[in-house]
Amino acid sequence: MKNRFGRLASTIAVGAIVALGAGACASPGETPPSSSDDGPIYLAGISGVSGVAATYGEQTRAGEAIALAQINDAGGINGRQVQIDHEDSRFDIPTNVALFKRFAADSKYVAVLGPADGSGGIATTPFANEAGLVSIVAGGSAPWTVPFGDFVFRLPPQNKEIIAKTVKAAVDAWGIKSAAIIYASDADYAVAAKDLYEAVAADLGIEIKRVESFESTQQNFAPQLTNIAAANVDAVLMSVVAANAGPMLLQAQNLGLEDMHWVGDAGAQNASLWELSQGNAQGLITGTPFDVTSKNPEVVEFVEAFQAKHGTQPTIFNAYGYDSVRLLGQAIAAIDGEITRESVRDALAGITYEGVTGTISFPDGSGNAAREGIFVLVMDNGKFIPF
Amino acid sequence: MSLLIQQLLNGLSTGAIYALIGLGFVLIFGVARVFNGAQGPIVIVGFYLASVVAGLSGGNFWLALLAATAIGAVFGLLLERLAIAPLASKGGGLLVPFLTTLGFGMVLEGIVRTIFSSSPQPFFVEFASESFKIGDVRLGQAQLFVTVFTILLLVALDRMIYSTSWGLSARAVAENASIAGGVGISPVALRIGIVALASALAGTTGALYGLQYAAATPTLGVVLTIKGLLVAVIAGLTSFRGAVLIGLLLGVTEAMVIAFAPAMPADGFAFVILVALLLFKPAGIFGRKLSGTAVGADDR
Repeated sequence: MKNRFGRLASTIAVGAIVALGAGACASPGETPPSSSDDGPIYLAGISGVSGVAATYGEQTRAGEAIALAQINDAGGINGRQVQIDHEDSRFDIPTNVALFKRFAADSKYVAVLGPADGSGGIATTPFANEAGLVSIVAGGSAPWTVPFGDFVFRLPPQNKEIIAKTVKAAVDAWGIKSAAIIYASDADYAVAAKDLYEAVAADLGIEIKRVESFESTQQNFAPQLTNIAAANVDAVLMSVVAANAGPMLLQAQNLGLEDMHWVGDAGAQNASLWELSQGNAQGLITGTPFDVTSKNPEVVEFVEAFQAKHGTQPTIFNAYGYDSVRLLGQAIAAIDGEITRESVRDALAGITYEGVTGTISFPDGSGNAAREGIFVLVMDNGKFIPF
Repeated sequence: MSLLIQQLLNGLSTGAIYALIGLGFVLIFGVARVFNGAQGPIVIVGFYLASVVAGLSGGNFWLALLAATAIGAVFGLLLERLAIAPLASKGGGLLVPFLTTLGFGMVLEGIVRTIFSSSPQPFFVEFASESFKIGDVRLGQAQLFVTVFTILLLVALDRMIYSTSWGLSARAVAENASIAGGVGISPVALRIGIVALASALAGTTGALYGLQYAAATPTLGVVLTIKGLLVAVIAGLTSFRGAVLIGLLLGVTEAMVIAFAPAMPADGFAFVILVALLLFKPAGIFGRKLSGTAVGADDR
């Protein structure tokens, strides 16, 4: 019995090594990618649904699932159903890379939805370009630190635009003259957001009296909030996702910050903030490319479909997931001829897509999406409405 | 001065949570010589059940606390039977049982994630969002409750360990399981009881965590395990009172680092200070040389 298990373990180990090795060695020339038969169109999905930021991977996938169901229910793309094979990146860079290589080695995949986070996307960018396989990065607003190449497409707008517009709205509405900043020190987008807040505050003449940070695994913010209370500021500028922002706002109430103005970036746009803060998120404003209250038919269709399935307002991460699949679907539908990795890339490079997070195009042929439309929303009794 | 007092209170309420988790490690290590890698995930199981019970009972915290404590004890029994007992007579050293308990914790985390998803779970109890002021110092009711309740709980546990015959047996086993076994104490029964007690304590901690911080995610268990383990190690692994003191000290140190050295990562910096103390007391601040005889080592 022992020997049998030993052999099985050895076989699995050898198989895993061979598979990883194949992934590492794959190149477009060795495994010509195509999806040209009449079967499903295969897409790979890489997002973290476990690990420290699992909730955002789950949200992205939930948005993707709505879009996928819509496409397939409508008959697929040019009569072919679409299949997304998901893997869990655990928000871990080596796992992101290993998964990307594995998908790249399998010629049936014509594009990858993911990695869903910016750090993973940066790490897999060289492999996407080496393998000639499109990578659509739905999350991550921090600066991209490597060349995008021809095969990486990033959807979120630059956080700079969001922060500038949101802080300006706060100044106009509340006349804030001083502020504190609080951000997650272990999240690249939040660290970048802190720098942006400081720059925007300097431009607008806001004095930053206190900068506080925390690690996103923590839910105890009392020490930081005590410092902010002592600084006596008009507003708190936060780069904090709802998972932390909810408890933070509740604890703020206990520490005498009931009348504080709270300004968030896109990460705060999550209806669960209301429940997590136990109603203390009233009046928080956030900048986002996704106006959940928009009467735009695209947005209405998505919000209704999402609410029917999940019973809540979709978040920005739901919206990014939804847009990434619809964007890719539109690109593939426009291909005249064989669906290959190359033709998918070319179709994306020339696309103009009207999504729920605004109009998306790639003027550079890849890389950052050009975007129009940043909205400032305010939390009002459990829902985000225009500010 | 009021800022200092406020941060001291913040630190004590956080430290109370650390102390409870560290204590769970010390209890189990004391009688079983096992670093319990599932201590944090059992806290999270307690939190999730407490949040559900609080929700269903209209915010009845006592009921939530009771449920969390009970589920902790149940998972403690499972942990002992599945991840500790099978190795007790095999002499796997410290690493193997740590890995099996860690694996048990990962399974618990996976179950919680499957049932509740990875999204943060809110914990709603009405009085948690109330606060009051004494001079310039603000105190959240939840913060005060957690601190006072934990102190009372720790005093009760202290009495139990140091003033009852059961506690005496536990300390005897912690001292030397072989000799304790020789004078009629059943080390295995004691181990089962202590693991269940430490896990019940973890369940209680989950409910208190929810009351104080209002939300948690399944992955938080890992962080709590690391904190508790470090508290126990720095305290000296077998010192009940030491774990309480180090837990409280860690909470206060973190709060003070945030207050007066905000550029420093509070978690890391606080640990650097405490770990530096180990340079002077390598066996832990309250530790002494262990007998090295684990419960079950003579069961073969």
